[in-house]
Amino acid sequence: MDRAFPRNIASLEAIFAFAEEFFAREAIGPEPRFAVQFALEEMFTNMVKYQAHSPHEILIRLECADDRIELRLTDYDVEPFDPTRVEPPAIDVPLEKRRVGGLGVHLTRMVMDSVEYEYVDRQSTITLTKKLG
Amino acid sequence: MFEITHGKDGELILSGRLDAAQEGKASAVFDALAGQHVVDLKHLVYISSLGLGILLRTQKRLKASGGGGLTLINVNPHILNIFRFAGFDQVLDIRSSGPG
Repeated sequence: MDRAFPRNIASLEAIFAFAEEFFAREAIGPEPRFAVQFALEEMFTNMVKYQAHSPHEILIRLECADDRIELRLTDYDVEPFDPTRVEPPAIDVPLEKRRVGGLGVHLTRMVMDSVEYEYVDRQSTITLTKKLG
Repeated sequence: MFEITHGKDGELILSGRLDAAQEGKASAVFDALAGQHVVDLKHLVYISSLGLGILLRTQKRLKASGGGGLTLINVNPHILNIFRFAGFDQVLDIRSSGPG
């Protein structure tokens, strides 16, 4: 399933509805549902925040292949932002030294099984997979 | 849908989905807290990094001003997993069951 969404946080409601359609069609269980929704939100909101200048909509594709869900976000006419190269935040520190923020990409990598990034002709593509069963 | 209500013992009850579109609603309530609070997540089905940031920011502020901070109760397994990956079990009082 493919659908494009306006570059706005308000698109999240429609994105989650799109994911629900996909989960129902493919009879996906609760654990992968949580992970896929989380990854979708974190990657999409990063594109909204850090690529605000692009006039293009963001394309989301959800597919079920063999034993995994594949999730792909494509962002057009943007600067590179590679989530696979983001340093994980320091979480093993006392509360007063904990930094607020920077968790989204780290947690996405934890809940998904793979994250890949490609940047060609000013087009960013993030492909994430989640194993089923 | 996301809602914050108050329980009979003064606890905050979070319901629905706390995603990035709910920042204003959630921040308004958490930024007004002082001292010590129980937050019941029994009806919370989803949280993203935005919600985690609000919880962490609130905990830092309450503890820095000498308060007891937040106790999160009735945390469902998916959200508990995210809390652990985020290292929240080291800086917040988190319980998968109710108060007590």
